[in-house]
Amino acid sequence: MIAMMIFGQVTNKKGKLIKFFFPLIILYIILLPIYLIVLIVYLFFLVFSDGNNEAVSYLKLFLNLPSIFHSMRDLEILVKNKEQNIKLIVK
Amino acid sequence: MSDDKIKILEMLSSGKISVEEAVKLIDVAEEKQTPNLSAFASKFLYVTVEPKETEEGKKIGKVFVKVPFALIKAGFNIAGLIPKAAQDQINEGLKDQGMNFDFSDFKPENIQDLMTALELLTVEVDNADSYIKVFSK
Repeated sequence: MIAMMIFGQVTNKKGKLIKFFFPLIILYIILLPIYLIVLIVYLFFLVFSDGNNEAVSYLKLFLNLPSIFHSMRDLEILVKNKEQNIKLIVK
Repeated sequence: MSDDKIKILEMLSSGKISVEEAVKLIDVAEEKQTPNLSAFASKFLYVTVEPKETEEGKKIGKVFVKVPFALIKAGFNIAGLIPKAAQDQINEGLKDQGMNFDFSDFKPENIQDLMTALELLTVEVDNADSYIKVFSK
């Protein structure tokens, strides 16, 4: 299952709590057309290029982005310092 | 020597099995003895930094990072796809910083070994200011 949401929580020195979330679906909607274009270009290169093209490598990198989005689920980062406490969770 | 191997050798000496069969059986016995590393399959890599109390008795700062193993693996896989020219530049940059590391070593078979090793990794650093621990669970 792909990561869908980034939750954040910031508590400052005075105890003020700021909560926020970012739905990753927005990012996916933006990236989807780019992904499809890259896929078409990649297939074009596969058919008409000698395969050693450097561009193909970069396209492959981009095409592997979903694996990152898929695996970043449950990532948790918690940082406490003098000024504030920051908590980030990917769900 | 394990009991299994002794039994196999006894069977061989008494002529119950041939040399080829004995070799096969010993191989199977050795496989059984080797710990199955996938049994340690961890799901997350944890990095924690716990501060020690200052002279005023306060603990300042704390870091807790929980990284899914799948993310690390995906990162390694993507690193393996970095084009040759870019890899060379990264290698040179790392060398300049004193890290003799070759990105072309990121091959699927190496990544699997690396992940297995990472699952068994535990690093503990205890210094004057803080206690740092890297482990998987």
